[in-house]
Amino acid sequence: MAGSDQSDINVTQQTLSGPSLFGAIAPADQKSACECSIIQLHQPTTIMKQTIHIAAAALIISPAFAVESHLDADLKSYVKVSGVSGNLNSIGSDTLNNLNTFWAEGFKKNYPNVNIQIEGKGSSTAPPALIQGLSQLGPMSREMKEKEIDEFEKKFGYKPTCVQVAIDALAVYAHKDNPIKGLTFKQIDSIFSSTRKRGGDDIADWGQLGLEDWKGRKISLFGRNSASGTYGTFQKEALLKGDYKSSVKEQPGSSAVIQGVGADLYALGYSGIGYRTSAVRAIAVGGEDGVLHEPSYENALSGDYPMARFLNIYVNKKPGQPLDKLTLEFLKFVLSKEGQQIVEKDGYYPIPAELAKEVISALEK
Amino acid sequence: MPGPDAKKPDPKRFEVSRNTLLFDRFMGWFIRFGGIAVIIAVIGIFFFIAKVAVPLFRSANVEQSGSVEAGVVPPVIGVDERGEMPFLYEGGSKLTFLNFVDQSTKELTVPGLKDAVITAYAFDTVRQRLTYGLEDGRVGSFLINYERKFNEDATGSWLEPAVIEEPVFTVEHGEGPVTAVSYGDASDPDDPSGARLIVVKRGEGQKASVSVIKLMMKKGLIGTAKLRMVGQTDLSSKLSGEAAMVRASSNGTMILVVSKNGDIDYFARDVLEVNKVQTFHPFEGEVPQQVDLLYGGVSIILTSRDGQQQQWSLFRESAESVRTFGMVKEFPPLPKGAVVFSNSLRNRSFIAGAGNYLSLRYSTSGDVRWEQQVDYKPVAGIIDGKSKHLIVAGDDGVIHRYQVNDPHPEASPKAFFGKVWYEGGMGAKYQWQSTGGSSDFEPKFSLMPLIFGSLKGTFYALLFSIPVALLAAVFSAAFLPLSVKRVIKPMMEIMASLPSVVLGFLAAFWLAPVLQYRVPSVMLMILMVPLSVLMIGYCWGRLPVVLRNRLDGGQEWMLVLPVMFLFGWLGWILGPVVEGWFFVYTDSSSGKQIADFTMWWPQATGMAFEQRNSLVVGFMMGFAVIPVIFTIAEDALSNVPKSLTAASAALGANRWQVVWTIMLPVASSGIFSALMIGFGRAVGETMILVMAAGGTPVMEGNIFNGMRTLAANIAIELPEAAVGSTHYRTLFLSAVVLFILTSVMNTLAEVLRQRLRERNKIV
Repeated sequence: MAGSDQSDINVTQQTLSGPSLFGAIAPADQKSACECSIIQLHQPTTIMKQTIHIAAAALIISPAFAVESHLDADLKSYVKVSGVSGNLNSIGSDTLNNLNTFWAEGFKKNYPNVNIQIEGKGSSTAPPALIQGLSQLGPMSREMKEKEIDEFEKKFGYKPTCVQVAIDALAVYAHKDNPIKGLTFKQIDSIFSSTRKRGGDDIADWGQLGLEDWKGRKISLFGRNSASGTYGTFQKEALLKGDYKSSVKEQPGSSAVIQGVGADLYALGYSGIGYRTSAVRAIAVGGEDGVLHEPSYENALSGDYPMARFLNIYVNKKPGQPLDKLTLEFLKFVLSKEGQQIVEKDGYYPIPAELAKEVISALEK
Repeated sequence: MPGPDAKKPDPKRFEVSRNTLLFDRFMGWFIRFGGIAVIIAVIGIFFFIAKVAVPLFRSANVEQSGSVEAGVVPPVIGVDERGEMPFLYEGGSKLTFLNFVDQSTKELTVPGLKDAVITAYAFDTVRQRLTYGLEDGRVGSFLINYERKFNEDATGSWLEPAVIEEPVFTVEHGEGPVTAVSYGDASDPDDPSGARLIVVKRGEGQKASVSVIKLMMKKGLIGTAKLRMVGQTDLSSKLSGEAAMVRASSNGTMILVVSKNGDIDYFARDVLEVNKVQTFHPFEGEVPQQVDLLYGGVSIILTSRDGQQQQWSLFRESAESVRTFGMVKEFPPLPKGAVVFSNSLRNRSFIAGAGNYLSLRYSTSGDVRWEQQVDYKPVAGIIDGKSKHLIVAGDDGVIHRYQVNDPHPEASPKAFFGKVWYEGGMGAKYQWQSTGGSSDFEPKFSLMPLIFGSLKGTFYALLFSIPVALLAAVFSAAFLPLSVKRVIKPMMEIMASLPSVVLGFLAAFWLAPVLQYRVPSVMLMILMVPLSVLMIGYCWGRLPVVLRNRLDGGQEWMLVLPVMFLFGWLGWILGPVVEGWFFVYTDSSSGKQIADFTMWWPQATGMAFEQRNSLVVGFMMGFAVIPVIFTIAEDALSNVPKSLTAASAALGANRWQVVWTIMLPVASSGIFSALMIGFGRAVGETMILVMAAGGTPVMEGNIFNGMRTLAANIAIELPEAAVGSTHYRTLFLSAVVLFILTSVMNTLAEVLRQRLRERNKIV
């Protein structure tokens, strides 16, 4: 059970519960003020980060849990090379903003002459920036839409290259005091979907899930906004591409989902595993065979827990030619042991060494 | 005026100085310029927004862009995603590739088919897979793979077609040669379910049989998977008649067998089982000539021999029933003749042609996007992967290519403002669900739920804030002593400067959970607090004048406030008691009774109760709207000339009469402006609604569920919408709608205000 699983873990103090704050306030703020958050990686970043630390501590929305490490032992340490300098621009996803900032910081420790600018205004800002040559890195929390690839192809004649930098498993969350053990895909579909492609009967009441004491309690549904990658992945995997019920409360950020579920005893929501807090419980999910699986790293990799996706950085790589040195070294850093440690610290799952090696060799070709 | 004994006045004394005149003229022009600039800016913004939205309403543009002499009339035609190099297949082991760019021809042979006798074949455009059946009862398939090669500096590229052969399976059931075949495959690169199937018909007439080969290709997040057969099922005994056509959906979950008597049997595939779900009979007494699956695998397009065309979709007729096929739409009829069909892999468009007629249609709206009479008979056609080209093979042995420019087929006035029957839905309805996880998602772009949400949010916000703000303004302007007013008014104005993100955050994570179980308390408070004030007023009036005179005019609030708080507190405390009396939920099966409003409300009214509801939003929006209305209304009331109020007071009117008969009518136009500005604030409010309204695009007036407003929807979805896509432009269209909504309301209000002002003009 997820509950015992959590309490057994030794809760070492982790300072920054980054995603929960960024998800809730940062995007909202940006939208209302209509301005981009350009993080220039000099002194101000550290100051900004400190304020975030303080804010996180002050609001105490949720301390992040320290989970045992999933870092692949075969991941290589980053080896510094000579002759790396210049400007590196990254424009794209706000989900990856945090991760990107930490990577940039780590990268700059190796190369003090490199200047990195990170803008996180949403995934859809990445393709236009790549096409116009404003950025070398296009972080996206979803995959590029065909329309965006078309635009890119129209300009350059080849497709953009997708670099997988981290794994995000989707979890179904319930309030921490919710006694439910787990749900099968069919039940999840019946709860969240209006078209119910898995063929179950509509479920709106906790009593229908076998909780006798909660008969008559309606399930309060939380989800992500429709344009996010999380929304799409959940729709594809759990609802078999069916429609969501219109009573699913679509939240602007992943942490808003968690906070919503944490504040509502009868709620159920889905979000990335990196956002788990002590107020909620990630419940086990059963696939077609009905056997429940915890959303663990192993289960995500093996496919037993099927709701997992990659976080991507898109780059403009000419076919048959290696990537420019600065971008390549940055991505190598991201895919190194150090880079993947950052991934883990930020609550996502690191990618296996085998895949990292594969991706790097593809970029060097 | 100079006195009589003053010296002769200096005439210059009465002249206005040149500088003042100049300054006056300058300011006059400056203000005029500013005013005009503001108007131009507003119109400019409107046009900019509208300009982004306008392309939505352009119709499709289709033009012929080349042709290649093929010399054959191919039954199967396929093409790469850019429409550059179609291939033709006529059965056998040979594939012919025609290049539109350099007009060259290339042939490829499928090695495994060298000596085989192919008796049936089918092409799946989604996976570029050709499935074939052999005389000896085996079935196999191969994929056509176009690889793009680049030259050294990536300036030029060309296509390199290749064939990838897949395993061959022996059909266990039935006998005779394979007479029809169809392959269904769910293995999206990112879809782990990995179910596949092949439907096979063997033999003809009495000996005919239909069976399914079930395949599985399961893989994790990384790594490669292996294809294995998990079983075969004979469907022959379950069929309504001899099969004429077999179709597997390209996602491998359903099988359709069209009988020669016109019945269509629908089988659904679970992991291991294939079960018959339904038999349906479209086109009374006729056998459909064509049965084609639309992209997404939930809809089929049926075309009869006389050219009728219908869309049937899988949906539930009632909440409990299973998903079955039912007719959803009828398209304009086609001329008679063999039908050419191919669906787009980008949206719900498809080409349909018959006789000399060719058309591009869109299934969601049922529109014909483009149609033309051509001077040849189309025999096969295909839309390329990017939906940019139509490749049509004619009976004259020529392959025609058309360039398609139809970026927004999803958009139409009906899609935005009308009811549409979407795939899988239980009927035509207004629905907003703009994006899905996959490209085969059918977008639902009805703006009605959003417009409704905007109006609903505004209604509840104003319902709460107008009484409070107006009463406060009247009290402050007419009753409060100046010393207190000097403190109160700026305080209210500071309230307006609270960032709405903070308000939204508070509403969502503090107020909503608190109010969830306190609805009866809130109702009681809303009832008791005003009543308590009226009660005090009544009692106060009964008190002897000597006692009343102890308190200066305007100091009564010191007495009222504690009582108000007391009754508010009492309401809060008594809420659960009242809940126990009136709001009791009864469990239908066990008869157990629970006093809980959140459970009682859905049972009693059939409507939902959500934690994030309009009540919470109304309260919090009040914080944003009340200060605006209050300040302006208060100013209007305070600016009523003292001469009027003093005169009426002198004539014996009491304070209330002065307010009611003099101040309110005179200030009415100002108060009206205050309300309109409050309305504007509420309609355009974004962050509170993004965070606290739940973002549910429902169309219910129910106070206990949420809403999604136009503004909140733009804020949530625009940063993730692909620039230039239909979704992106639709969001701009919704901004135009919001703009029009507010300007119409404001114009109406301004007209009304002018009338009020005319009527209550003083002096």
